[in-house]
Amino acid sequence: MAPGPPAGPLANGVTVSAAGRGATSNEGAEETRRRPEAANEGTEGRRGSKAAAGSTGVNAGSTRGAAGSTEAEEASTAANEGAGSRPTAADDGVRSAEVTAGAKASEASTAAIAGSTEVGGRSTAAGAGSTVSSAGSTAANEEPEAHGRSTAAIAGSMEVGGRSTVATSMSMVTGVGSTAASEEPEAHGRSTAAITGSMEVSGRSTAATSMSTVTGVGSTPAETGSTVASEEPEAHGKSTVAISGSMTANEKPEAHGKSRAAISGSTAANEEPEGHGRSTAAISGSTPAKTGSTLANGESTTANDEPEPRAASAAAILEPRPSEAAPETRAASTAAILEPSAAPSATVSGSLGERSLAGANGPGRGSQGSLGPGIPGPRGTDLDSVSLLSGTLESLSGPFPDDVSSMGSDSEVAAPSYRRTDRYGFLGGSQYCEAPETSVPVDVARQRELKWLEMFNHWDKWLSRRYQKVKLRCRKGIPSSLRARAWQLLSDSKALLDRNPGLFQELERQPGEPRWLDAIEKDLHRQFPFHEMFVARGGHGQQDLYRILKAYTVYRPQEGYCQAQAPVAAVLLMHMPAEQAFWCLVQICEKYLPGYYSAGLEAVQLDGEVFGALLRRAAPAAHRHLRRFRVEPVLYLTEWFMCIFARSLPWAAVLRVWDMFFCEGVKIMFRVGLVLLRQALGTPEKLRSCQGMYETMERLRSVPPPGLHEDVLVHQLPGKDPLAELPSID
Amino acid sequence: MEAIWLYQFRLIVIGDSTVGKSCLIRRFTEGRFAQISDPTVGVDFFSRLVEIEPGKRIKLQIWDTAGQERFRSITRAYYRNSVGGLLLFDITNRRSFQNVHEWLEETKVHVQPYQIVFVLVGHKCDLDTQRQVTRHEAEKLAAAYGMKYIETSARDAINVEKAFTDLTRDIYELVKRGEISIQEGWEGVKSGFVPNVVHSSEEVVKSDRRCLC
Repeated sequence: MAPGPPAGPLANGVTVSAAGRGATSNEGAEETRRRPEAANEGTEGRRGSKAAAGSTGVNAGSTRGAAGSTEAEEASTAANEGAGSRPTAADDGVRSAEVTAGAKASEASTAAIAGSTEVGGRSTAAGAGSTVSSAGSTAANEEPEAHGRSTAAIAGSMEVGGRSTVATSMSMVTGVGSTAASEEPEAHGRSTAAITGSMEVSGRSTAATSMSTVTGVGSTPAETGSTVASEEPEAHGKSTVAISGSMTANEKPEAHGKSRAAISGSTAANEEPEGHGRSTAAISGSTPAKTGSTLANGESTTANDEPEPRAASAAAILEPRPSEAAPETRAASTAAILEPSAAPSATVSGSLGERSLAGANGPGRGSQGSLGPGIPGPRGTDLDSVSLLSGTLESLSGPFPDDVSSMGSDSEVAAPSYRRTDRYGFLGGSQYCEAPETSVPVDVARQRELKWLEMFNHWDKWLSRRYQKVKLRCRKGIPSSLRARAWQLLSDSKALLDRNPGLFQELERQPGEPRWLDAIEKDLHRQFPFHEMFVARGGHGQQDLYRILKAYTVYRPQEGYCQAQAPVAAVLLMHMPAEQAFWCLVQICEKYLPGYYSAGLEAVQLDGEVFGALLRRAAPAAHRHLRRFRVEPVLYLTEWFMCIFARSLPWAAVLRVWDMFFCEGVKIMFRVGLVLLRQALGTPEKLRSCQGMYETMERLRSVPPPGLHEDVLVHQLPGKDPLAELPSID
Repeated sequence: MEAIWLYQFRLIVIGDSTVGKSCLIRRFTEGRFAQISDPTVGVDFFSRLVEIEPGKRIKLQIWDTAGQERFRSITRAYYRNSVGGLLLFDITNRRSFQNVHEWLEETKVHVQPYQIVFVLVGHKCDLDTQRQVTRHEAEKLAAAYGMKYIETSARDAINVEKAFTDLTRDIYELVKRGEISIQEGWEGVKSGFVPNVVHSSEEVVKSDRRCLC
């Protein structure tokens, strides 16, 4: 076991960092030992991808170093590096970091400060909006480990957000930051990864993918039940692992500079330095989530404009270059990187067609590039990063989904070290998404983001004068990097938050009614238990869930808590910090779905009736069928509507539905419900094949996946308002 | 080939939130145990065939219900069409036991004019060390309401089959004795396809309905 730093009193700040360093070598060695195992675990075909993921993991760890660097100098170094062209800002940041550091106790928080320094410096320089600062403050309010986490997030945001002055970058930061902020201790590694992601690629999802390796390493102790890492030396030791790995990165200024370069490079490519740094980041963020090859496009575009970024991103991705790093660490990373190329099967795996072609070439090339003593050649590295990422993606199809049933039990999940998340953070379960997203081309995604940024800048005008356009854009899907912000604007929850500063904290301070608290507590571990954010008992996601659900019962004591609110709140928490999520939840419960969660559940039952009437007009055959077998709407529709489909659709589709829902309101649920019904029972053959109540219910419960693809789903939404045809409906 | 069953019984599973209703049903219908299951929102629906005597099969339709009180406005609509019910409490949660009475009252009101044959189920009996309800008092309570009592564990698959099949047998006996009869417009008991009977052409057509069990 790694020498764990003692539980976090202030004095430990420096000591811990030393311990962290000391641990570096040990941990490095441990990683060396582990990785081959990982590779062996998989089938031949998967070896490559695993190893590739492993190296990405190391990389993630290295970034963590950046965030986790405890010492002030390092922080400042980082800040300086990060600041690049804005030394003054960086200096300020450092200063503020130190100040904050004084206030904060644990090493973790110090780390956080390092992170926030950067953010502070940057955001000040950038004139950043409240979002970032709130992210920062969230971090500050967290427990030690949380700090590390959010720090990471912040570090990430600094790179991304810092670059762009545009307020939009903020939201991206928020997204990253908030997610990270709600993570578990292991999540440190994860969010770090997210940062990594945001640095070179800036993709939260990519990051999520790559980082999970680190998560695995770091998570073991957390799994063993330490909620508060700071109280559990081991847990800390673990996170030190992540840190130590990252130290390497931190000690390599060039590498750091590189990754920044990557971003600025892409900025250049984008022509508009500020807004673009962000958008590039955001775009590439979403890109890798989709396919390795898409990323390849994005990256190479960048590369064409400027060779350096390529190298940089490659450097970032292949971070653990053997330079000043502790020998063991080096060995570890080398091993990790070597793995794929050492195993010919790695190359084979891709060509076997298990997943993307990029995956096939990726690991091998990546390893070579990274093995080079100097900065890898631009071209090679470019490919490397691509392939590595796709390799990571590939590894998503790893063994995990097969044995998900054992997840979630604290006792059983001894070491899910190599389980990986999909691009939405799911580790398994029915909403785990194996397939790489076939989606919007990079340039289109970029364009969309710019359009959304423009809308954000003149939001009120857009909403009042060009609502149709906003609606259309929501139907096309809100760019994932901007989703959190868009949801808050669409629901007007941001205004609510602004009007009620501090109220959430005030609600939190109140005791709450025991019967609601009991009920909430019982449900905490049952919300998206396969999502990385909620997988750990008592983990950060679950804590935040408790906070906002409880706050709601205090805010509306007469409403109390309804079990169906929990999944809704959880979805919000996956995108934004607790306070924002709370106000968003308030809007959903009171503006979008008033009465849905109230004591009698009358509203949802009424909507069931309405849906039945709608069905009679819009799908008479299905309606007759359902009546014949006495399948009443309330039977299948309660969960759909009360959870806003969050538990009933593939995740990509859930997000698209929510995008539209926030824009257009409850009628979207009727439309989606109608689409699902048509998918399930839309033809005479389908009706014939499910004769009976059970069979019909079964069919409704499991609409075949192709019909649930987000694009298909959105496409099939009735173009004309079906409700408008019904005179009786308000 | 189509499954042949004598009767179809509809059962309902009720009890406080988190006593393990969904897990018990899943163990029975799917043979597996999920460490975590989403809180049920509204009602859910399962089905399985049970052989109570060689060659005599009963099709069970099992309704799973949300435990939280505010969902009762939805779930109570399903009491009426049920012939049997499993009333669960968690042996490690005294409160859920204390609420048994309330559950019975609740169903009594909404099941009129029919009746539900209930079995009281003390669930999570694998967690015996955390037990807050003794077997004795549970049996006493069950007897007071004319119910049988059984302790089950979905995790360790203890008595899960027995809980369902015993209840099914009891209902079957009542049906055989005519104490429960099939009624038009009531879904609690339906007769199925009797084996060893030559199918009329109509029945052959009907036999298209397949059971997925």
